[in-house]
Amino acid sequence: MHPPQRIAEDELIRQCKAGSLKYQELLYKQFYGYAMGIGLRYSLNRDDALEVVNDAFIKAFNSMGNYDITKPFKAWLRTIVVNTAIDRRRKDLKHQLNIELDGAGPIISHVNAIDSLGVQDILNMMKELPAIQITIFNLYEIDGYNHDEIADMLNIPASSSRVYLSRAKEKLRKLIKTETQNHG
Amino acid sequence: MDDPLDNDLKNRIREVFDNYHDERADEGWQLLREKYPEKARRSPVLWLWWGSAAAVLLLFLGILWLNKRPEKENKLVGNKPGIHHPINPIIKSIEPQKNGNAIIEKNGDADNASADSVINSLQSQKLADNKQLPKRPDNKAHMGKANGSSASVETSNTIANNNSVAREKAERNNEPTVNKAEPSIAAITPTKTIEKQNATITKPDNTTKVDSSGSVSAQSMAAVKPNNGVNMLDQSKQPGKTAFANNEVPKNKKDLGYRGRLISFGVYAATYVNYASKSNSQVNEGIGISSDVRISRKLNLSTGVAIGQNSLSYNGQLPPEQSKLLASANGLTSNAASGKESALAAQAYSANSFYAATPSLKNYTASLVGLEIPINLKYHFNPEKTATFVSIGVSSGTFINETYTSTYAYTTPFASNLSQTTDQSLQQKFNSFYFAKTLNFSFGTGYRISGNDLIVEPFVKYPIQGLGSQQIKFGSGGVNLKFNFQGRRR
Repeated sequence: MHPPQRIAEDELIRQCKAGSLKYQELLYKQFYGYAMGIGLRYSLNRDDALEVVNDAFIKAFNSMGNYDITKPFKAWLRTIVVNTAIDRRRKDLKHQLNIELDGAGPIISHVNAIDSLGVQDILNMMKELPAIQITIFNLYEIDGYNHDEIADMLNIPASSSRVYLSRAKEKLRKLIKTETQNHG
Repeated sequence: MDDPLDNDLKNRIREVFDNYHDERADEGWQLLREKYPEKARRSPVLWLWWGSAAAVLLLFLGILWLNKRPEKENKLVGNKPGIHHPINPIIKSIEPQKNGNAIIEKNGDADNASADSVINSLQSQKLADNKQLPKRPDNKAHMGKANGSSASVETSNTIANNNSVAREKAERNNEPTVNKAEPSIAAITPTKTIEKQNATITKPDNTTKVDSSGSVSAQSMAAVKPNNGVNMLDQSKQPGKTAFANNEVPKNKKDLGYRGRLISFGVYAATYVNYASKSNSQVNEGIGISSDVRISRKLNLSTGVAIGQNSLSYNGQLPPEQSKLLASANGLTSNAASGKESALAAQAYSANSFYAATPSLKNYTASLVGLEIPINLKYHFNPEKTATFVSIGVSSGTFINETYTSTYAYTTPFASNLSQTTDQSLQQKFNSFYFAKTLNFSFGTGYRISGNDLIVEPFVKYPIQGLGSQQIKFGSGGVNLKFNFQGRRR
């Protein structure tokens, strides 16, 4: 027996497949937070993330006919959001590489406990990394893509993807340890 | 991530962002609604719809604008001096054969103003038959009533058109037997029918008979025979049906290529110079809509419809095409004239030349509003990246309005330094349809603006044959500024 939320999700998707704008709105609001979480990891600021999410939902609504209802909707939506974010990042690569840090506060406010890291803490930490490194970190470590897939998505050699990932992780470790020592 | 720190961080990131909550979903939805579903519906059909509406509007405005110009010219032309000159002797040599009735052919165009301005009667013709001088004093007397002095009319250098209107009105009032005092412009006939005219000179079946007596204006004769004044009236005696035999105008524009494999279409404005042999260059404008149908990756079939003004100006001469036709017509009519007619003509001429003014052509202008349907093959050099192309094809079409105006100067035998000018015009609408009589060459290059192309397209149109009712061989060269709506993003 499906949980109530799953049933509601099925109904939402079925109505969205039929083109109901009302159910599309309900679907959007139900998965908005989830999609924003993905978008934020790649865009690092809310405005850009919102644009990514909205573009992703438009793609999803337009492609709803191709969605296999037997598979998890979240995974399908996640793929769309990630691809949309990558597409946007590819277009704005130059801009992304030169992005200024807009957080004036401490990079990590509760460095002694990783479990206490909040969204803004993580975002501030990610902003310390070059765009290409944080993108590959997200793709590989969080979203589960392998280096070949990343190489195809970003149009770079797989070996470069490995190098960028290694540098990203090293930088994150240093950031966490430095802040831990400073506050320890 | 082998390091436990890395694993903890990775898991924390997943946890935080997978369970991310944002209370501004409503705001996000409102932003999305600005793009959706409107954006999804912004299909090529929508582009086509808005573009077509814009093109039709442009075309409509263009027709209105272009039609105003000939109207102004016509008003000017219509203000002809109402002076009745002693008639050209050729009228007297021919008309007595028609039971004394003046038989003057009018142009067959029902819409033509010349139908209302048929020459009334040939007063002087009767005089010629009776071996009397024409009643020119009467005419002068009429003019004198209108203007106070007949001499002032005869000796005026150039009679202003506005003054002539008043004179015409006065003349009509003072001469009730004359239905229309305006000189006929029907005397100018399409030259392509001149040979037929020669064959039907003695059979004026389709001519309009005017029973009222009066005098034929010198203008009507001058329009026919500006130079030698002997037999050119014959050319005016064409059957009315010949002048508009080709009056079938294709009004159905369904096959302009807007449907079917339409890929893109555009609107354009053209600035160009008309050129023709012995004509002064005239700068004109036009507008049009076009559609490109893709044949292959680099080859398009381009068609559409355009409306444009064409004007030509000849100083002191007729277009070469007309001159040739007139010359040949003169030869034919001269040979056909009998000895008796020649004698009568000579006698009448000698009797009236005392009073007759000698016309000379000062200027000849042709103003044609063309409706053109080009069919071109367009080769794109690199369709994916640039909008650079070359194009070659032919144009067919018709002329919405044709106005040919001849300006004559008359000098009097008594005072050669004094003259007056008179305009004669022929106006026709949708006279005929020409097929593939213009060869088109163009080269275009453009800039991509919001997915559409702004194209600058220099072009040359070379005439293969004569165009219009007067068969004037003219072309044009200029630049199209074209905005192409891309129905489908490449």
